[in-house]
Amino acid sequence: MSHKTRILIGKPGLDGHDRGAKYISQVLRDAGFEVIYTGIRRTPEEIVEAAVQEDVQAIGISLLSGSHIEMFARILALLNEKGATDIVVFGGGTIPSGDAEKLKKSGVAAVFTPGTPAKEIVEKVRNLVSNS
Amino acid sequence: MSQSIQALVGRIRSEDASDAERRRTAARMMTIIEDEPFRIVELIQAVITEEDAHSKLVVGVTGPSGSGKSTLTDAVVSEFRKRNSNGCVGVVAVDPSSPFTGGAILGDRIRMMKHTTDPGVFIRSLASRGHLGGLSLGTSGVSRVMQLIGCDPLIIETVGVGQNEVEILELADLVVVVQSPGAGDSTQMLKAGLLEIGDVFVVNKSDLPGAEDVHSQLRSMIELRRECGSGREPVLAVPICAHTGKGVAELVDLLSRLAEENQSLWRERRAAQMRDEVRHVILETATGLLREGVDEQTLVRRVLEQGEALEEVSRDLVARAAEEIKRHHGS
Repeated sequence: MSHKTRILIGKPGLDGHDRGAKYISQVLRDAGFEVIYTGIRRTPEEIVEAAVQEDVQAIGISLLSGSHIEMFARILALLNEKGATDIVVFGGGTIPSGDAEKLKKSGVAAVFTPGTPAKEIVEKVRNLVSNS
Repeated sequence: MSQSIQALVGRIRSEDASDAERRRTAARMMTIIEDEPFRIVELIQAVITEEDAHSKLVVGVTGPSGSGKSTLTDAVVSEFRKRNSNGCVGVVAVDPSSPFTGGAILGDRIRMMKHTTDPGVFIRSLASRGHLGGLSLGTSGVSRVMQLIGCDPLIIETVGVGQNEVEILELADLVVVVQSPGAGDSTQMLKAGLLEIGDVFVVNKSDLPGAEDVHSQLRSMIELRRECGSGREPVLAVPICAHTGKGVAELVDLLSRLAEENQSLWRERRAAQMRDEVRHVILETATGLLREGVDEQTLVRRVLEQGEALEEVSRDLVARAAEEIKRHHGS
């Protein structure tokens, strides 16, 4: 039957610049994904609980505020707490390459920094969810 | 994906399942049913002997896009939660899928994010997946899962509708039609479709100019309908501003009263709904079987180019499908 991949795009923290989050939502929509966009200024708790209720295969986090290390750590910990570690977490935004490596080591599946072509993001996300 | 629905129902019911596990299992079951809507039958079979497998109140919220359905739903959820802090309120919200890519942005939830961490609220967003009646094929199954985990009331929000998306009628006990100012003159109010299916009409965005006009047009429409004796007699709620919460308590009073008054009538209707759901699935499944291994283009050519009678081509299709089924499924 018609299995569709559902992805949640979330923006935790206090910065309200949602251009990136909306851009990626649209790109994924155009690639045939069902995107649950949860809007700006969310807590990690809200994002993770929404992801559970929506039973998404992946969570994409957009961050421009510099608080990426803390936010991703919290999100991964909450997923663990809820027994939902099968949900893939990826992210994007102004994340320095050193930090991106750190994040990947901690369990973030991919980090897309500004300038990554849309096609590359779609391909990577598609790979991530098909392996999950 | 071949997890048994019955096993999942058992897991949800199991006493040693934690709350988190129960929610996750329910969410997983919703995905299964959304991807394979026909499996609603397994769910119905699992709960059919239970009297209370149905919520006492299933509210359908429908209306044009931008009329404020999600904001209204959010406000109604808050009010229900205020009145019953022990219960669980469920929301199923449907948004359209792209006819070009099949993708979707499901954004109803944004208006309801403050309820996300409330353990007494469960929200699920669905994409219409090409279905045209205002809901998706999986909506009835997802609603049943919500009811299984005790969501009462359950609120089903349709896609933004035009005039003809009236499927919500089949799932909801009460249909609330949301209108907002600036949507057309009083002739619009005579038209069949959306305005016929409302049990409750409500004007949202009552702080905007023109709201009073819409309210009085709706009142005349309801009076006219009463004079003509045309079927369902709807109720007009007080004007609402969902954003500020004005009028919301009155609307919830009204919904609760109607639920109280109509419970025995609805019980019968729900039994009919259930039979309808199963009937739908049987026909859908049959259509699927008909399509298996059929070259639809050949059929079209036979009608268009060879001038064969439609009836004949259709009978051929059914006969051939029957043969195929015998061969493959060996009965």
